[in-house]
Amino acid sequence: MYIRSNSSSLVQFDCWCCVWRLLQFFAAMADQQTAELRNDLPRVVDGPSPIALFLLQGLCGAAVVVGMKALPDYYGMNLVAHPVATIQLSLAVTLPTVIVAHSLMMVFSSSPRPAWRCIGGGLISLPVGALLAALLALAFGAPASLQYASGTFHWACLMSVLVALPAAIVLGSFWPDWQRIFAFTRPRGGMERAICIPAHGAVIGAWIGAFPMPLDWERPWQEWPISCTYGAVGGYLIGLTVSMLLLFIHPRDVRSKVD
Amino acid sequence: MAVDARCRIVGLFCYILFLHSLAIIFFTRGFLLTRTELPEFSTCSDVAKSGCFGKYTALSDTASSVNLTEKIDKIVEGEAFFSQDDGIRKAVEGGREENIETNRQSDDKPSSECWTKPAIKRVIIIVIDALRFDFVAPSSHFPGESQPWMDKLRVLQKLYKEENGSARIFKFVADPPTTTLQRLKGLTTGGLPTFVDIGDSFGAPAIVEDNLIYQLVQSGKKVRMMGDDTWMKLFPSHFSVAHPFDSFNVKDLHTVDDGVIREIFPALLEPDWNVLIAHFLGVDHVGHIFGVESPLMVEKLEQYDRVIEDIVTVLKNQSGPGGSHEDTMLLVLGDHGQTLHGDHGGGTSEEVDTALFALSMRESPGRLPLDLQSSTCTINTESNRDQSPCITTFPQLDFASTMAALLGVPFPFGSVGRVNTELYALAASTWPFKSEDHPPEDPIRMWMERYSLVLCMNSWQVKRYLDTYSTSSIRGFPTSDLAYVQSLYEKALVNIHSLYMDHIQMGTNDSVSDRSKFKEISDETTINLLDSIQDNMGYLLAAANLARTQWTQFEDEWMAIGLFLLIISMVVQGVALKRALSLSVGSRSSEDKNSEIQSNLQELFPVKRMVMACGVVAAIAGVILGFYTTTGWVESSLFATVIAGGQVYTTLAAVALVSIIAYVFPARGPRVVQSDQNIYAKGQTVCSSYREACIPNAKLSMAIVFVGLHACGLLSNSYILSEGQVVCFLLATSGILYLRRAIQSCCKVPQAILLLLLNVGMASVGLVQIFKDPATVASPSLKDEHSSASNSPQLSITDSCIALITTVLPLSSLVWLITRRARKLFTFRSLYWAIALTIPFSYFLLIIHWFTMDIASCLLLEIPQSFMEFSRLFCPQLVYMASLMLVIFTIIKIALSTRVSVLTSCRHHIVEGIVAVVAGLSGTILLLLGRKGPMVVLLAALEIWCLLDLQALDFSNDNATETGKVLIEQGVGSNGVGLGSHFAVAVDWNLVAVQLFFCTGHRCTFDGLHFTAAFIGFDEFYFYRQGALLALDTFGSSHILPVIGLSLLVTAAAARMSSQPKFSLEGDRFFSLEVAKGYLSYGLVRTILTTVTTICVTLQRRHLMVWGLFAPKYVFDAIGLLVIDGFIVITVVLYVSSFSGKLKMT
Repeated sequence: MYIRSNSSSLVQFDCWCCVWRLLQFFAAMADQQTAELRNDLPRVVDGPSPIALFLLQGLCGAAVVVGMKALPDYYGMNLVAHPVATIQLSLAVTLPTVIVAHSLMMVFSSSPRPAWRCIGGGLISLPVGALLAALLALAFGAPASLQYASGTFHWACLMSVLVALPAAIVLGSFWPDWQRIFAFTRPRGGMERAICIPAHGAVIGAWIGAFPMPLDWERPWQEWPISCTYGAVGGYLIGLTVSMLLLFIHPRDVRSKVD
Repeated sequence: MAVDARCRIVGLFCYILFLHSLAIIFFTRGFLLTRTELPEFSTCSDVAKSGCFGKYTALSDTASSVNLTEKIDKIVEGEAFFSQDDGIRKAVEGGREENIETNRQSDDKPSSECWTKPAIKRVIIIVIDALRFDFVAPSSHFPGESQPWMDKLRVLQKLYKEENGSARIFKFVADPPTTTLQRLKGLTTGGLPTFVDIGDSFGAPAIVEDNLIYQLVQSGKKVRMMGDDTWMKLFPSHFSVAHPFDSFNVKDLHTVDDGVIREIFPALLEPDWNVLIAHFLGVDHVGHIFGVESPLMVEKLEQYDRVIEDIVTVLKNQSGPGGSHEDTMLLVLGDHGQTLHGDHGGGTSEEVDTALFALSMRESPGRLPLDLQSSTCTINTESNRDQSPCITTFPQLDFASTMAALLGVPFPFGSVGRVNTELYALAASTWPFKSEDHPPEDPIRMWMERYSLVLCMNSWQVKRYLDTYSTSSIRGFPTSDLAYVQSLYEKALVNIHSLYMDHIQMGTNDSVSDRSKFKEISDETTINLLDSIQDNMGYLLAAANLARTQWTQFEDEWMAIGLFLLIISMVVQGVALKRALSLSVGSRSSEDKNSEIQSNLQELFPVKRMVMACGVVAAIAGVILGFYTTTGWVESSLFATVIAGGQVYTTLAAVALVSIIAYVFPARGPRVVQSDQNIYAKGQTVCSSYREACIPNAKLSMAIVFVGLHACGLLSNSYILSEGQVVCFLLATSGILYLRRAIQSCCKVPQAILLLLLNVGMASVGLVQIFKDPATVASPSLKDEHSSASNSPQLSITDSCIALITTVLPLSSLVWLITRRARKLFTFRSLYWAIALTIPFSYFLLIIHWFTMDIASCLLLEIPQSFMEFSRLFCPQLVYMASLMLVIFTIIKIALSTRVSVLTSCRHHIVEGIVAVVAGLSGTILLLLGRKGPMVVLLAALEIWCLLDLQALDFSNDNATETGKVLIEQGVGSNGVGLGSHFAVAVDWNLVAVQLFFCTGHRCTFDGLHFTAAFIGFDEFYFYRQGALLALDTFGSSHILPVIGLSLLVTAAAARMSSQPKFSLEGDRFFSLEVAKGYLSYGLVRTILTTVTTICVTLQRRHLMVWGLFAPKYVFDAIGLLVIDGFIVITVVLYVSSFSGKLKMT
């Protein structure tokens, strides 16, 4: 397992070089565009351009898909048979992607934030979010016995990466923003929408993913973290799609309300 | 107005209770299957009418029937069967043998052979309750590794392997419902007892149908019984000697068994019985309390192993020629199986499969032909191994007929079973006796002749029963199926006749003794005999299947009516809720609308209209009824009574329906519209705000989603099984939404987080208990017994220390909470002191009770007997007493104070009353719940506190929004928080209540009942007292307390209102209405859930798990609904009466 994840990170490294350059390029482009936009419409849009957002979300989605499906397939694993290993693998892909992509967006945005703050915030939010997610899972009746502890932990990390991490990078530690996005569901601007909608999608997906667990179909995927992981990833991808579509349908600042 | 309102509100709840009980009665009548019991009995002379003898006379008209019967008898059975016993004198009277028993009683009822020739003289039936099939069958019979409880009844397996031919093991398959009473009924009557008897399982009526025991007694045989007293309830006066032992006391593992063992060995040596029944209960009780996997089960089985071995030794010593047990058969059988958790009642293979072991004391000389064997041999394991021949299946249905045939008594009238081939063959006397002067040429053929005659009588008896049943019962059999079965019978009969023709020829030829010709004919006859046997068997199987489908047939019309009534009552509740809401909204604005209020109040429960409508319908129905009875009386009395019985129900249904219609459709329609228009007239802002308040908001939609999810879950068996988890999940979701709202309004966040954390706690505590862990579910004393039996004392000491800490800490914090709350809250000092004294006292008694139990079980130190008795019996009784006194005192206090008190807000009185009653009941309920009780109750109390506190969120939230402000200014809808709020709160409340039910270790099965809780504090068994305790344990924490406490929610809402000075007075005035609204919404939620359960039961009535899962769930839900309705009526009477008294004062 250890060797596998090592080699996977090697593979990633190659990817990352390309991705890094691409992102730099697009972020620069986005920055340019926003600068242009700002000249036209001074106070309405102060986020990154739709194209950059589109790319960001596409990248996150691709990373999730690669981490959940493609890479495990490559190593001959799947979520049902090896839930923990697969989640580890997908974390190995998703975590750097999400951190780097969002940090880049913030670093090169119109109101730039230092890179160390972005990455640092992300890394701090990861265990905090994981802890909260694990506690919530227990509150929802996840099995508390030790044999499921590893599964719960990894699932919580994945939820944290999908939900808390982007928000921590983008919003920082400004409480009213968190409140506005997660309690009121009122994101402003494309960037916040790109955080809010997929995060809600992931949470609702995980919630729905718990439904088939008590059924007596005796399928292996009804075990505790598996169906919820499927649900969370599915919900996240749907959320990404919705927010990407919204970029084109309502490209400007729209108070979208998704609950 | 006040008195009127009071009457109307109370009337409304009574009406709902009436509707629900009617609906549930109707549905239950249709769903829980019923069967008409025919009061007819078989007699000895009946058999002459059977086609086996009688029809033949039609074929040959020359000879008289008597002669021919004689002839046939001689041919068929009299040929070579000599009585081999010296004590039995052979006498031929009218062509029949008469066996005079050793006890020689030849008074009015001569013990002659009746339908069949007795093959065995004495039977010992050892019934082992809840005997699983794998207790008896060799473990090589089952795939997978051997479990600890397998191969423990070694003596049976040894006999089965060693005694070639005289011992057999059968797989004894019961028909559901697999409860002891139903099974004993089924075993003795040979019929299919239905589920409707299951309620009688603890107060069983005597069997009125024809049965094996009755027939035995009629033919002068002596039946002796020892063991389970269910037999005595079924057969109160049939046994010659009986030693019954109490069976209700589940926690008593040994009394019944020890009693039986004490009685059985002397009885074996006594000559004055023919049938000895010994019913052991230990396995059943061990299973109920500890489960199959516990070491106690192995101990119990090993005990039985020794007992059976001793019995067999005694029998073998006496089984020599001339011994008293020469013609004795030993049967060891289970009445039903059990699951690994010790449950039974349903139709799963674990519960249905049990074992029958038969040992004939005399080896039977012949072997069955393979054709007959293979036809019944269904399970065949490892046929290459000679040592374990196949174990065949023996339906319990067949037991009565087989035993009647073996013992030579008439088959019970209502039996639909057939005589089992192999068990019949096991008895040696069914085979031709090898004697010197008559060397039997072909024992198999002779045996088959005999057997085919028995089967012929069997078929005739079953046909007679089916015919009688279909003519005399209300719901006969479907005609097409009946016709098919009849055709099978005709076929079998024709075959029999042709057979007898052969016999006549053969009989005549025999005298000529032409051996070669005889051989030819005999081969032909063997084939014919086989055909005849197969035909008869085919008929009997078909008949049994027909009966089985018939008596697992539901009465769909009744079910439909019941379901319809239930759904309609839901509509009534919804309409009432809407009217109550519109009442508070519409009547708020000004004083001059008093008349409008009046009429609206009338709408809430329009007595006159409904009474009139009902009266009309009832009168019409009465006239029709009278007409029917007068005309029907002439035709036949039975018919008339049946019609009258149905008519009463139909009348009731019609009355209910009409009253509902009268309720739902108002006589004066436009009035509601007018009040709406009034509000519209106030201007655009009010209009919009009104809509904002009344149109379902997000909270309502979430509540509907919750109820919908919960209800959908009830449609699937796996969600029903894990309903506890489902409820935890939904409650957590609700908690998340509260958290979200709390974050939005930046207050009460800690409460919301606490709610979630408490849910974690409830889920973990509940999870430990939901899966039946014997150590936690069983009552404390049993738990200790168990742990001291299996574990080392050190372990149990640490266990008890942990138990002590987990009970003492929550208890003391509960005491602290209650007294602190009471001191702050109570205006009645006397009530406060009563609580402050009683509660710590009773909790202290609880701790003493549990602590002494623990110490006694650990055997740490010797406790004086008197103190032990004091803590075991007297402490609980004191706790019960204290609870009762406190509740009564509170009620009196509240009722009296309303007359005396001045203008203190009556809400406080209500809150005081609720807290006092709940606190008073808590002692008893904690005691009944056992050691995990305090923990769960503490968690639940905190959870409810959070929930109550969080209700303030909506209001502040509304306050923040502009529309809310407008609302308050205009005074519209501020009293009622709107439909959404009421309903949503009721939904959350219900979730907490259901969660409590599961977290306190209850399950929706009959075996999930905590029977042991009924015996805390009492040793003797009285039905009503123990029943009340059991009911309090089952419904107390999850149904009764939530209903009593529900008005806390209303008071919490009202407390928010009173912060607005403007409405404090009017809030008081309409407070009773608020209470009514709260109860209406809670009742509505419960009704919705019960209705969905009912629908689910209707849809799944052919499901495999219907008796194991769906039916108990329905019964629990239905009873729960009635309990809730009843307590709603009581509490509403209490609250509302105290209010109106107050209002009169002002």
